[in-house]
Amino acid sequence: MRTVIVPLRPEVQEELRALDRRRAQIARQYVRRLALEPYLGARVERGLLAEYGCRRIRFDRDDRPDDLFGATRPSRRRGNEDLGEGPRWRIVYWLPEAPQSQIRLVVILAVAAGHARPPDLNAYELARRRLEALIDTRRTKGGSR
Amino acid sequence: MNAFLISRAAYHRIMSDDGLPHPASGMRLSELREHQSEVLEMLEQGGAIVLHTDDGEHLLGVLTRNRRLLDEASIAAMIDAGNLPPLAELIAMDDRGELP
Repeated sequence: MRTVIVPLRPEVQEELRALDRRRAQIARQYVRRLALEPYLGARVERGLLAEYGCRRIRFDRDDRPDDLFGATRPSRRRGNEDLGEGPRWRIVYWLPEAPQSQIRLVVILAVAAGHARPPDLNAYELARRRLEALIDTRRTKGGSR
Repeated sequence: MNAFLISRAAYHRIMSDDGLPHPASGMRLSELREHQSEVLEMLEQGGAIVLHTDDGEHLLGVLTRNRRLLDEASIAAMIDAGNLPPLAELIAMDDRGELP
């Protein structure tokens, strides 16, 4: 099955532009790596994103996305650390497959902080809204309503 | 030693490996809201619901979370909505190195 990264949505491109240069580069490297390792991210465990089988990659400026063979330890939050500790940023993506066409898509839904203070939305909330909008034809010009 | 008596239907649900969605049931549209939590539970368990219009005159389709159907329907919806290029075009873009 062929894995294809879907063109990044304008809002995701905007999020990448808003990151500092180092983090933006890391995020872009992770996105490219998903073409080789689509299951790299851990599954989102709750809500609509979980029901669609979406995944997420946690990252921050010390990450080495080009480290395909795991020579360096990925940055993780330790058990005794606060939820706000550890890698701050998330790439949330969805991996729908069309077996008949032998194609697997990587749809990047959000590149944003994992935790946000209201009224800001965190990466998961942004991703959920975008996923819903992407497949809801009623909200877009091509739809029937 | 403990013995438990279970119904044949329950046994079938637990032990079945026939590849069919279980639990499965037929419903009318208005019953979906009425039994929403039950419906969600059935779908989470890998079940399916055959859905009819309220007047019972028409089959609407099958409600399922079958991963393959969900993925294919979602991809088709994105293409129909103009949120995704057709797959052939996407593959051609990938061949030309135009994708991330």
